Amino acid sequence: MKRDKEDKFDRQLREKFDGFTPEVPPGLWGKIAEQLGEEKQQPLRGKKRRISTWWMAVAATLVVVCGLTYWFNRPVEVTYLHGGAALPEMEGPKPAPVSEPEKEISPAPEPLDAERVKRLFAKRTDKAGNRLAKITAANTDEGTAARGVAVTASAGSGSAKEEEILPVEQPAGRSARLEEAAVALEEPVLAGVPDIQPPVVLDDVEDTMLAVAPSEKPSFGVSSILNYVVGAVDQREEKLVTFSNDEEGSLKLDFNFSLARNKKKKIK
Amino acid sequence: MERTVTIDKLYEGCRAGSRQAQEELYRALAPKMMGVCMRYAKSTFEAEDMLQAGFIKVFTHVGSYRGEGSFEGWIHRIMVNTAIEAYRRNVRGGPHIAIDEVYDDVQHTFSMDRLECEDLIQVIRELPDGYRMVFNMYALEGYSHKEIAEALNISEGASKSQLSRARAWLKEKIKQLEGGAYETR
Repeated sequence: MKRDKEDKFDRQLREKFDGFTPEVPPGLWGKIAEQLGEEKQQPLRGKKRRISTWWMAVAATLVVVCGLTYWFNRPVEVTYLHGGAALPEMEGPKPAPVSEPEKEISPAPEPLDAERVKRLFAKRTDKAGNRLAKITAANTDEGTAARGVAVTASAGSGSAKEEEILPVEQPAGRSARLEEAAVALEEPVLAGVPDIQPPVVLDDVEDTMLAVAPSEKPSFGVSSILNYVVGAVDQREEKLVTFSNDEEGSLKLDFNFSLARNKKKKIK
Repeated sequence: MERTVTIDKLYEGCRAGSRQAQEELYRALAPKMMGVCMRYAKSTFEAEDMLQAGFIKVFTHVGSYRGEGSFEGWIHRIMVNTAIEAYRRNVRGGPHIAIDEVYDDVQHTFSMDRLECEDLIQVIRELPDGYRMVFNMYALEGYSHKEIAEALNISEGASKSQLSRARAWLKEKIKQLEGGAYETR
């Protein structure tokens, strides 16, 4: 009975609304038609944009990752000393990118006077000879005879013999090299290079100059980062793992197995 | 019969993408569908939005109509679904309003001839959103409590409870509108 009454109420309402046709706003169809026109174009445009954006993001990420990987694993620059071997090559035509900027920066090089250079060398040789003579004289006064035959001879024969002996006392090949440098400086091509100053630099260390290995700057790379991380984890003086870079830039791993064994023993 | 035939013919035109057929279908069914939307919406503006969104769906998804039932009935269901979607959007984070228990006097029969549809719609709109949806779907559309529960994401018990309260509340309101001019049987 109750259900029938409720159904009747619902039915009455349904019948009431069955013929209900309220007025529709006049401009509504225009909005619908306009939206329908946009809907026909938007789905394709929206999809395209989404896909292209996605690929662009992926491509950008790849480029960044590859760039960082190359940067941290790039080969270390090796500088080779050419010495005199490079001199003959400089006689030929100079490469444009190297010579042009120097012309702009440095003033025009003036040709070196070979006679003047020789005089300078002779002057310096005399000075060095005098210094050596003083040293040898002092040594002989103290009675030390173990300085060599040449020194003893110079001390005994006086200043007249010093001039003959002193060139012998100079490091082997010094005067010869100086003469070579002087001859080389006479050449017009070499005179154009402003950075060459061998007469001034060659004082006491000229023999060791070429033998000294090029100073290597400590490179900051992946190995440094990894060593820092290992150092943060492993706080002992000796590290279990050590990273380093060789000259070609390859990453090397060094394991300290003795530490690993000690650790195992400690754990047991 | 003639109207049904006309709408079926318009369906073919709409499926072919004819803008003229779409407009004719809109002119033929918009007032009736506007009545449906007004029952579900809280205001006339909301009803217009529902109607617009519903017809856009009709024209863009007309290919999915399989011919089961009338084309007009399919459009009616799309309008109801649009109203349900709007309710779901609005109900998120919104306050859940309940109506107090109202004494349901089932002994009275209502004479609704003296009431205008607009008055009845105004009364229905005063119902809280959930109650209005359940009452519309069950009493006026013929959905089962199970279907309503699934559509509104509530339990069947809640659907029954809300229907009962909404019905009692509406009767009380309609009684007041009629000014006591109802028949006692």
